Amino acid sequence: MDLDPEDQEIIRLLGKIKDVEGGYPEHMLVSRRHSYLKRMAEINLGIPADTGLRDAIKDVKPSHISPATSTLVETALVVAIIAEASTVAYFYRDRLADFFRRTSLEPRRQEVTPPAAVETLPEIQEITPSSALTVTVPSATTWSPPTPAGITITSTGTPFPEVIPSVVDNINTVTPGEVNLLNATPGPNDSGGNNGNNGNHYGQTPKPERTKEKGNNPPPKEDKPPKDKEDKPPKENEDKPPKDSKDKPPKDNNGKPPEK
Amino acid sequence: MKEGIALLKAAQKLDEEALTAIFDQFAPAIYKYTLRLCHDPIVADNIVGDVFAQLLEQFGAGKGPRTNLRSYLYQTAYHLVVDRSRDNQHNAPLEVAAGNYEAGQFSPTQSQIEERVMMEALISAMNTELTDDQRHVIILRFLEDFSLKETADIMGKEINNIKVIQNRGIAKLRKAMGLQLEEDW
Repeated sequence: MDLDPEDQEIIRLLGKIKDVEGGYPEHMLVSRRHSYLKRMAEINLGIPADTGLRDAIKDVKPSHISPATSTLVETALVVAIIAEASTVAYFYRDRLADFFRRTSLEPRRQEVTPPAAVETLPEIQEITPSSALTVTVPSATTWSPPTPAGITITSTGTPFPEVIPSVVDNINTVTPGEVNLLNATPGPNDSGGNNGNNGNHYGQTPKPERTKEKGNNPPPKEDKPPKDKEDKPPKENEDKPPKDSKDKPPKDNNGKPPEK
Repeated sequence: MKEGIALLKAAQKLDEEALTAIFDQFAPAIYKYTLRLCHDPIVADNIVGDVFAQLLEQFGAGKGPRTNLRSYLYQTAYHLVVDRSRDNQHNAPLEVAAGNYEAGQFSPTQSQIEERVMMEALISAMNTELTDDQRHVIILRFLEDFSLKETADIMGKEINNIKVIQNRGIAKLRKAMGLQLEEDW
Protein backbone atom coordinates (compact mmCIF):
# COMPACT_ATOMS: atom_id res chain seq x y z
CA MET A 1 0.00 0.00 0.00
CA ASP A 2 1.44 3.38 -1.02
CA LEU A 3 1.34 5.91 1.78
CA ASP A 4 2.87 9.34 2.04
CA PRO A 5 5.57 10.02 4.67
CA GLU A 6 3.05 12.12 6.54
CA ASP A 7 0.70 9.17 6.51
CA GLN A 8 3.48 6.99 7.88
CA GLU A 9 3.84 9.42 10.73
CA ILE A 10 0.12 9.12 11.48
CA ILE A 11 0.37 5.35 11.44
CA ARG A 12 3.36 5.43 13.77
CA LEU A 13 1.41 7.53 16.24
CA LEU A 14 -1.53 5.14 16.02
CA GLY A 15 0.78 2.27 16.89
CA LYS A 16 1.97 4.14 19.94
CA ILE A 17 -1.62 4.62 21.07
CA LYS A 18 -2.07 0.87 20.80
CA ASP A 19 0.95 0.20 22.97
CA VAL A 20 0.06 2.70 25.64
CA GLU A 21 -3.60 1.93 26.13
CA GLY A 22 -4.62 0.25 29.33
CA GLY A 23 -5.96 -3.27 29.52
CA TYR A 24 -9.00 -4.98 30.90
CA PRO A 25 -9.55 -3.95 34.55
CA GLU A 26 -8.82 -6.92 36.78
CA HIS A 27 -12.04 -6.99 38.73
CA MET A 28 -14.09 -6.76 35.53
CA LEU A 29 -12.11 -9.51 33.88
CA VAL A 30 -12.50 -11.90 36.81
CA SER A 31 -16.20 -11.32 37.06
CA ARG A 32 -16.67 -11.77 33.35
CA ARG A 33 -14.60 -14.94 33.29
CA HIS A 34 -16.64 -16.43 36.13
CA SER A 35 -19.91 -15.80 34.33
CA TYR A 36 -18.42 -17.22 31.15
CA LEU A 37 -17.39 -20.46 32.84
CA LYS A 38 -20.82 -20.78 34.39
CA ARG A 39 -22.46 -20.36 31.03
CA MET A 40 -20.04 -22.87 29.51
CA ALA A 41 -21.03 -25.45 32.14
CA GLU A 42 -24.70 -24.93 31.28
CA ILE A 43 -23.97 -25.42 27.59
CA ASN A 44 -22.06 -28.61 28.31
CA LEU A 45 -25.00 -29.99 30.28
CA GLY A 46 -27.31 -29.23 27.39
CA ILE A 47 -29.26 -26.57 29.18
CA PRO A 48 -30.62 -24.11 26.67
CA ALA A 49 -30.13 -20.46 27.29
CA ASP A 50 -32.88 -18.23 28.62
CA THR A 51 -35.29 -21.02 29.30
CA GLY A 52 -36.00 -20.38 32.92
CA LEU A 53 -36.01 -24.10 33.55
CA ARG A 54 -32.76 -24.06 35.39
CA ASP A 55 -34.29 -24.75 38.79
CA ALA A 56 -36.43 -27.57 37.50
CA ILE A 57 -33.49 -29.23 35.85
CA LYS A 58 -31.32 -28.96 38.93
CA ASP A 59 -33.31 -31.72 40.59
CA VAL A 60 -32.93 -34.09 37.69
CA LYS A 61 -30.10 -36.51 38.33
CA PRO A 62 -28.14 -37.71 35.36
CA SER A 63 -28.64 -41.37 34.53
CA HIS A 64 -25.88 -43.75 35.45
CA ILE A 65 -26.24 -45.96 32.39
CA SER A 66 -22.93 -46.53 30.70
CA PRO A 67 -22.55 -46.02 26.93
CA ALA A 68 -21.98 -49.73 26.38
CA THR A 69 -25.22 -50.58 28.10
CA SER A 70 -27.14 -48.03 26.09
CA THR A 71 -25.68 -49.41 22.87
CA LEU A 72 -26.68 -52.91 23.92
CA VAL A 73 -30.21 -51.80 24.68
CA GLU A 74 -30.47 -50.02 21.33
CA THR A 75 -29.31 -53.12 19.49
CA ALA A 76 -31.79 -55.31 21.36
CA LEU A 77 -34.61 -52.91 20.49
CA VAL A 78 -33.71 -52.92 16.79
CA VAL A 79 -33.56 -56.75 16.74
CA ALA A 80 -36.94 -56.98 18.48
CA ILE A 81 -38.51 -54.60 15.95
CA ILE A 82 -37.14 -56.59 13.03
CA ALA A 83 -38.35 -59.90 14.52
CA GLU A 84 -41.82 -58.52 15.11
CA ALA A 85 -42.03 -57.21 11.55
CA SER A 86 -40.94 -60.59 10.19
CA THR A 87 -43.57 -62.43 12.22
CA VAL A 88 -46.35 -60.14 11.05
CA ALA A 89 -45.20 -60.54 7.44
CA TYR A 90 -45.24 -64.34 7.84
CA PHE A 91 -48.80 -64.45 9.20
CA TYR A 92 -50.15 -62.12 6.55
CA ARG A 93 -48.08 -63.46 3.68
CA ASP A 94 -51.17 -64.35 1.61
CA ARG A 95 -52.55 -60.86 1.80
CA LEU A 96 -49.19 -59.37 1.08
CA ALA A 97 -48.74 -61.63 -1.94
CA ASP A 98 -52.18 -60.65 -3.25
CA PHE A 99 -51.42 -57.05 -2.70
CA PHE A 100 -48.11 -57.19 -4.55
CA ARG A 101 -49.63 -59.28 -7.35
CA ARG A 102 -52.43 -56.77 -7.74
CA THR A 103 -50.09 -53.86 -7.83
CA SER A 104 -47.75 -55.55 -10.29
CA LEU A 105 -50.44 -56.93 -12.66
CA GLU A 106 -52.67 -53.92 -12.61
CA PRO A 107 -52.67 -52.55 -16.16
CA ARG A 108 -51.35 -49.18 -16.49
CA ARG A 109 -53.91 -46.72 -17.61
CA GLN A 110 -52.58 -44.10 -19.81
CA GLU A 111 -54.59 -41.11 -20.57
CA VAL A 112 -54.53 -40.50 -24.27
CA THR A 113 -55.35 -37.14 -25.55
CA PRO A 114 -57.14 -37.36 -28.90
CA PRO A 115 -55.55 -35.48 -31.73
CA ALA A 116 -56.86 -32.13 -32.63
CA ALA A 117 -60.14 -32.48 -34.51
CA VAL A 118 -60.21 -31.49 -38.14
CA GLU A 119 -61.76 -28.13 -38.57
CA THR A 120 -65.25 -28.48 -39.91
CA LEU A 121 -67.37 -25.78 -41.34
CA PRO A 122 -70.04 -24.49 -39.01
CA GLU A 123 -72.67 -25.22 -41.64
CA ILE A 124 -71.73 -28.84 -41.64
CA GLN A 125 -71.73 -28.96 -37.90
CA GLU A 126 -75.26 -27.69 -37.78
CA ILE A 127 -76.59 -30.49 -39.98
CA THR A 128 -77.98 -33.26 -37.91
CA PRO A 129 -78.15 -36.43 -39.87
CA SER A 130 -81.53 -38.05 -39.72
CA SER A 131 -81.72 -41.64 -38.76
CA ALA A 132 -84.57 -42.18 -41.24
CA LEU A 133 -82.40 -41.33 -44.21
CA THR A 134 -82.08 -44.33 -46.38
CA VAL A 135 -79.88 -44.68 -49.39
CA THR A 136 -80.78 -47.31 -51.89
CA VAL A 137 -77.98 -48.67 -53.86
CA PRO A 138 -79.18 -48.98 -57.44
CA SER A 139 -76.84 -51.62 -58.50
CA ALA A 140 -74.93 -54.37 -56.90
CA THR A 141 -71.59 -53.37 -58.10
CA THR A 142 -68.34 -53.62 -56.35
CA TRP A 143 -68.20 -49.84 -56.09
CA SER A 144 -69.03 -48.68 -52.63
CA PRO A 145 -68.88 -44.99 -51.88
CA PRO A 146 -67.66 -43.88 -48.49
CA THR A 147 -70.54 -43.74 -46.11
CA PRO A 148 -70.76 -40.59 -44.00
CA ALA A 149 -71.29 -40.96 -40.33
CA GLY A 150 -74.88 -41.04 -39.26
CA ILE A 151 -76.27 -42.31 -42.58
CA THR A 152 -77.65 -45.79 -42.55
CA ILE A 153 -77.60 -47.76 -45.73
CA THR A 154 -80.25 -50.43 -45.93
CA SER A 155 -80.92 -52.74 -48.78
CA THR A 156 -84.55 -52.83 -49.92
CA GLY A 157 -86.48 -55.60 -51.57
CA THR A 158 -86.83 -53.72 -54.83
CA PRO A 159 -85.65 -55.90 -57.68
CA PHE A 160 -82.73 -54.42 -59.43
CA PRO A 161 -82.81 -54.10 -63.15
CA GLU A 162 -80.44 -56.10 -65.07
CA VAL A 163 -77.12 -54.51 -65.38
CA ILE A 164 -75.40 -54.45 -68.66
CA PRO A 165 -71.85 -55.44 -68.07
CA SER A 166 -70.55 -52.97 -70.59
CA VAL A 167 -72.34 -50.08 -68.83
CA VAL A 168 -71.10 -51.23 -65.49
CA ASP A 169 -67.68 -51.38 -66.86
CA ASN A 170 -68.06 -47.86 -68.19
CA ILE A 171 -69.26 -46.69 -64.81
CA ASN A 172 -66.61 -48.41 -62.83
CA THR A 173 -63.77 -47.62 -65.14
CA VAL A 174 -63.87 -43.92 -65.62
CA THR A 175 -60.84 -42.51 -67.19
CA PRO A 176 -59.85 -38.97 -66.32
CA GLY A 177 -61.00 -37.63 -69.69
CA GLU A 178 -64.46 -39.20 -69.66
CA VAL A 179 -67.67 -38.32 -67.83
CA ASN A 180 -69.29 -40.72 -65.49
CA LEU A 181 -72.72 -41.26 -67.01
CA LEU A 182 -74.30 -42.35 -63.79
CA ASN A 183 -73.52 -39.17 -61.95
CA ALA A 184 -73.31 -36.66 -64.79
CA THR A 185 -76.11 -34.07 -65.16
CA PRO A 186 -77.68 -34.23 -68.64
CA GLY A 187 -76.92 -31.25 -70.86
CA PRO A 188 -79.58 -29.03 -72.43
CA ASN A 189 -78.98 -30.34 -75.94
CA ASP A 190 -78.80 -33.92 -75.02
CA SER A 191 -81.40 -35.77 -76.98
CA GLY A 192 -81.00 -39.16 -75.62
CA GLY A 193 -83.59 -40.25 -73.07
CA ASN A 194 -85.70 -37.04 -72.85
CA ASN A 195 -87.56 -37.13 -76.14
CA GLY A 196 -86.05 -33.91 -77.39
CA ASN A 197 -87.50 -31.89 -74.52
CA ASN A 198 -84.70 -30.10 -72.91
CA GLY A 199 -87.03 -27.99 -70.77
CA ASN A 200 -86.43 -24.76 -72.67
CA HIS A 201 -89.65 -23.67 -74.51
CA TYR A 202 -88.78 -20.06 -75.21
CA GLY A 203 -89.64 -19.05 -78.77
CA GLN A 204 -91.49 -22.24 -79.58
CA THR A 205 -95.00 -20.82 -79.22
CA PRO A 206 -96.87 -21.32 -82.55
CA LYS A 207 -97.66 -18.11 -84.38
CA PRO A 208 -101.34 -17.29 -85.08
CA GLU A 209 -102.53 -17.71 -88.61
CA ARG A 210 -103.32 -14.67 -90.63
CA THR A 211 -107.07 -14.44 -91.29
CA LYS A 212 -107.36 -11.18 -93.26
CA GLU A 213 -106.76 -10.86 -96.89
CA LYS A 214 -103.86 -8.93 -98.15
CA GLY A 215 -105.89 -6.35 -100.05
CA ASN A 216 -107.96 -5.22 -97.11
CA ASN A 217 -105.14 -3.64 -95.29
CA PRO A 218 -105.37 0.17 -95.37
CA PRO A 219 -102.53 1.92 -97.09
CA PRO A 220 -99.95 3.23 -94.78
CA LYS A 221 -100.04 6.90 -94.02
CA GLU A 222 -97.31 9.00 -95.40
CA ASP A 223 -97.03 11.23 -92.37
CA LYS A 224 -96.38 8.47 -90.03
CA PRO A 225 -93.55 6.18 -90.65
CA PRO A 226 -94.48 2.59 -90.65
CA LYS A 227 -94.10 1.11 -87.28
CA ASP A 228 -91.74 -1.61 -86.93
CA LYS A 229 -93.61 -4.57 -85.75
CA GLU A 230 -90.56 -6.22 -84.57
CA ASP A 231 -90.00 -3.47 -81.98
CA LYS A 232 -93.30 -4.07 -80.39
CA PRO A 233 -93.40 -6.61 -77.68
CA PRO A 234 -95.49 -9.58 -78.53
CA LYS A 235 -99.10 -9.27 -77.50
CA GLU A 236 -100.62 -11.54 -75.03
CA ASN A 237 -103.04 -12.73 -77.65
CA GLU A 238 -100.29 -14.19 -79.62
CA ASP A 239 -99.92 -16.88 -77.08
CA LYS A 240 -103.54 -17.76 -77.49
CA PRO A 241 -104.38 -20.35 -80.01
CA PRO A 242 -106.04 -19.07 -83.26
CA LYS A 243 -109.76 -18.89 -83.26
CA ASP A 244 -111.66 -21.38 -85.19
CA SER A 245 -112.72 -20.18 -88.65
CA LYS A 246 -116.18 -21.61 -88.13
CA ASP A 247 -117.04 -19.04 -85.47
CA LYS A 248 -116.41 -16.16 -87.82
CA PRO A 249 -116.80 -16.54 -91.52
CA PRO A 250 -114.13 -15.08 -93.63
CA LYS A 251 -114.86 -11.59 -94.75
CA ASP A 252 -115.04 -10.81 -98.42
CA ASN A 253 -115.43 -7.63 -100.36
CA ASN A 254 -113.80 -5.26 -98.01
CA GLY A 255 -115.16 -6.58 -94.84
CA LYS A 256 -118.74 -6.91 -95.98
CA PRO A 257 -120.53 -10.11 -95.49
CA PRO A 258 -121.09 -11.98 -98.65
CA GLU A 259 -124.46 -11.66 -100.24
CA LYS A 260 -126.67 -14.57 -99.84
CA MET B 1 -1.79 -21.22 13.26
CA LYS B 2 -2.04 -24.94 13.86
CA GLU B 3 -2.56 -24.29 17.54
CA GLY B 4 -5.35 -21.89 16.67
CA ILE B 5 -7.08 -24.44 14.45
CA ALA B 6 -6.63 -27.20 17.03
CA LEU B 7 -8.01 -24.88 19.69
CA LEU B 8 -10.98 -24.05 17.47
CA LYS B 9 -11.75 -27.71 16.77
CA ALA B 10 -11.57 -28.54 20.46
CA ALA B 11 -13.88 -25.64 21.24
CA GLN B 12 -16.37 -26.87 18.68
CA LYS B 13 -16.54 -30.08 20.70
CA LEU B 14 -17.29 -27.93 23.77
CA ASP B 15 -14.00 -28.77 25.40
CA GLU B 16 -13.83 -26.76 28.61
CA GLU B 17 -10.09 -26.17 28.48
CA ALA B 18 -10.24 -24.93 24.93
CA LEU B 19 -13.14 -22.62 25.66
CA THR B 20 -11.38 -21.21 28.69
CA ALA B 21 -8.19 -20.68 26.71
CA ILE B 22 -10.12 -18.81 24.04
CA PHE B 23 -11.56 -16.46 26.61
CA ASP B 24 -8.21 -15.79 28.25
CA GLN B 25 -6.59 -15.14 24.91
CA PHE B 26 -9.13 -12.87 23.28
CA ALA B 27 -11.18 -11.20 26.01
CA PRO B 28 -8.66 -8.39 26.79
CA ALA B 29 -8.21 -7.58 23.09
CA ILE B 30 -11.95 -7.50 22.48
CA TYR B 31 -12.37 -5.26 25.48
CA LYS B 32 -9.80 -2.79 24.18
CA TYR B 33 -11.31 -2.77 20.74
CA THR B 34 -14.78 -2.25 22.12
CA LEU B 35 -13.58 0.47 24.46
CA ARG B 36 -12.06 2.34 21.53
CA LEU B 37 -15.35 2.25 19.74
CA CYS B 38 -17.83 2.96 22.52
CA HIS B 39 -15.59 4.82 25.01
CA ASP B 40 -17.37 3.32 28.02
CA PRO B 41 -15.64 0.64 30.18
CA ILE B 42 -18.90 -0.79 31.46
CA VAL B 43 -20.44 -1.01 28.02
CA ALA B 44 -17.23 -2.56 26.71
CA ASP B 45 -17.30 -5.14 29.48
CA ASN B 46 -20.93 -6.01 28.71
CA ILE B 47 -20.14 -6.35 25.03
CA VAL B 48 -17.30 -8.73 25.84
CA GLY B 49 -19.73 -10.84 27.87
CA ASP B 50 -22.22 -10.85 24.95
CA VAL B 51 -19.54 -11.78 22.42
CA PHE B 52 -18.43 -14.86 24.34
CA ALA B 53 -21.98 -15.84 25.24
CA GLN B 54 -22.86 -15.85 21.55
CA LEU B 55 -19.75 -17.89 20.83
CA LEU B 56 -20.82 -20.54 23.35
CA GLU B 57 -24.33 -20.67 21.90
CA GLN B 58 -22.97 -21.09 18.39
CA PHE B 59 -20.68 -23.90 19.47
CA GLY B 60 -23.55 -25.53 21.37
CA ALA B 61 -25.70 -25.43 18.23
CA GLY B 62 -22.94 -26.96 16.12
CA LYS B 63 -22.23 -23.71 14.34
CA GLY B 64 -19.68 -20.96 14.87
CA PRO B 65 -16.41 -20.09 13.19
CA ARG B 66 -14.55 -22.72 11.20
CA THR B 67 -11.28 -21.02 10.35
CA ASN B 68 -10.66 -17.52 11.70
CA LEU B 69 -11.77 -17.28 15.30
CA ARG B 70 -10.18 -13.90 15.93
CA SER B 71 -11.90 -12.26 13.00
CA TYR B 72 -15.18 -13.85 14.05
CA LEU B 73 -14.93 -12.44 17.59
CA TYR B 74 -14.13 -8.93 16.34
CA GLN B 75 -16.95 -9.09 13.84
CA THR B 76 -19.40 -10.03 16.58
CA ALA B 77 -18.10 -7.20 18.77
CA TYR B 78 -18.33 -4.77 15.87
CA HIS B 79 -21.99 -5.63 15.22
CA LEU B 80 -22.84 -5.34 18.90
CA VAL B 81 -21.19 -1.94 19.11
CA VAL B 82 -23.03 -0.74 16.02
CA ASP B 83 -26.35 -1.97 17.42
CA ARG B 84 -25.73 -0.20 20.72
CA SER B 85 -24.61 3.01 19.05
CA ARG B 86 -27.87 3.06 17.10
CA ASP B 87 -29.84 2.72 20.30
CA ASN B 88 -27.73 5.11 22.36
CA GLN B 89 -25.81 7.88 20.66
CA HIS B 90 -23.02 7.99 23.17
CA ASN B 91 -19.81 9.40 21.84
CA ALA B 92 -17.38 10.00 24.63
CA PRO B 93 -13.83 10.89 23.62
CA LEU B 94 -10.98 8.47 24.08
CA GLU B 95 -9.96 9.96 27.40
CA VAL B 96 -9.39 6.59 28.97
CA ALA B 97 -6.40 5.93 26.81
CA ALA B 98 -5.04 9.42 27.27
CA GLY B 99 -5.54 9.21 31.02
CA ASN B 100 -3.73 5.92 31.21
CA TYR B 101 -0.93 7.34 29.13
CA GLU B 102 -0.61 10.27 31.47
CA ALA B 103 -0.73 8.07 34.54
CA GLY B 104 1.90 5.74 33.13
CA GLN B 105 4.46 8.50 32.67
CA PHE B 106 6.19 9.52 35.86
CA SER B 107 8.72 12.17 34.73
CA PRO B 108 8.28 12.88 31.06
CA THR B 109 11.06 14.37 29.02
CA GLN B 110 10.62 17.14 26.45
CA SER B 111 10.32 14.71 23.57
CA GLN B 112 7.86 12.63 25.48
CA ILE B 113 5.76 15.68 26.21
CA GLU B 114 5.75 16.61 22.52
CA GLU B 115 4.72 13.12 21.58
CA ARG B 116 2.00 13.12 24.20
CA VAL B 117 0.62 16.34 22.73
CA MET B 118 0.59 14.81 19.28
CA MET B 119 -1.14 11.67 20.50
CA GLU B 120 -3.78 13.68 22.27
CA ALA B 121 -4.34 15.61 19.08
CA LEU B 122 -4.60 12.35 17.14
CA ILE B 123 -7.09 10.83 19.58
CA SER B 124 -9.12 14.02 19.47
CA ALA B 125 -9.12 13.97 15.67
CA MET B 126 -10.20 10.34 15.62
CA ASN B 127 -13.13 11.16 17.87
CA THR B 128 -14.21 14.34 16.12
CA GLU B 129 -13.11 14.30 12.50
CA LEU B 130 -13.65 10.72 11.39
CA THR B 131 -16.90 9.05 10.52
CA ASP B 132 -17.84 5.83 12.26
CA ASP B 133 -16.69 3.68 9.34
CA GLN B 134 -13.40 5.54 9.05
CA ARG B 135 -12.77 5.19 12.78
CA HIS B 136 -13.57 1.45 12.69
CA VAL B 137 -11.28 0.86 9.75
CA ILE B 138 -8.42 2.81 11.34
CA ILE B 139 -8.79 0.92 14.61
CA LEU B 140 -9.00 -2.49 12.96
CA ARG B 141 -6.15 -1.84 10.56
CA PHE B 142 -3.63 0.06 12.72
CA LEU B 143 -4.56 -0.67 16.33
CA GLU B 144 -5.69 -4.30 15.98
CA ASP B 145 -3.38 -5.15 13.07
CA PHE B 146 -6.00 -6.79 10.88
CA SER B 147 -5.34 -7.18 7.19
CA LEU B 148 -7.47 -5.50 4.56
CA LYS B 149 -9.35 -8.73 3.87
CA GLU B 150 -9.99 -9.42 7.55
CA THR B 151 -11.18 -5.86 8.04
CA ALA B 152 -13.46 -6.21 5.06
CA ASP B 153 -14.85 -9.47 6.46
CA ILE B 154 -15.43 -7.96 9.89
CA MET B 155 -17.20 -4.90 8.54
CA GLY B 156 -19.00 -6.71 5.77
CA LYS B 157 -17.59 -4.56 2.99
CA GLU B 158 -15.46 -5.00 -0.11
CA ILE B 159 -11.69 -4.72 0.12
CA ASN B 160 -11.62 -1.80 -2.29
CA ASN B 161 -14.20 -0.03 -0.20
CA ILE B 162 -12.06 -0.57 2.89
CA LYS B 163 -9.07 0.91 1.06
CA VAL B 164 -11.02 4.01 0.14
CA ILE B 165 -12.34 4.45 3.67
CA GLN B 166 -8.87 3.99 5.12
CA ASN B 167 -7.23 6.53 2.79
CA ARG B 168 -9.90 9.11 3.44
CA GLY B 169 -9.61 8.57 7.21
CA ILE B 170 -5.85 8.95 7.16
CA ALA B 171 -6.13 12.08 5.01
CA LYS B 172 -8.53 13.60 7.50
CA LEU B 173 -6.25 12.76 10.43
CA ARG B 174 -3.25 14.20 8.61
CA LYS B 175 -5.12 17.38 7.85
CA ALA B 176 -6.34 17.67 11.43
CA MET B 177 -2.87 17.00 12.83
CA GLY B 178 -1.32 19.56 10.52
CA LEU B 179 -3.78 22.19 11.63
CA GLN B 180 -3.21 21.19 15.23
CA LEU B 181 0.52 21.49 14.87
CA GLU B 182 0.22 24.90 13.21
CA GLU B 183 -1.91 26.10 16.12
CA ASP B 184 0.60 24.70 18.66
CA TRP B 185 3.63 26.25 17.01
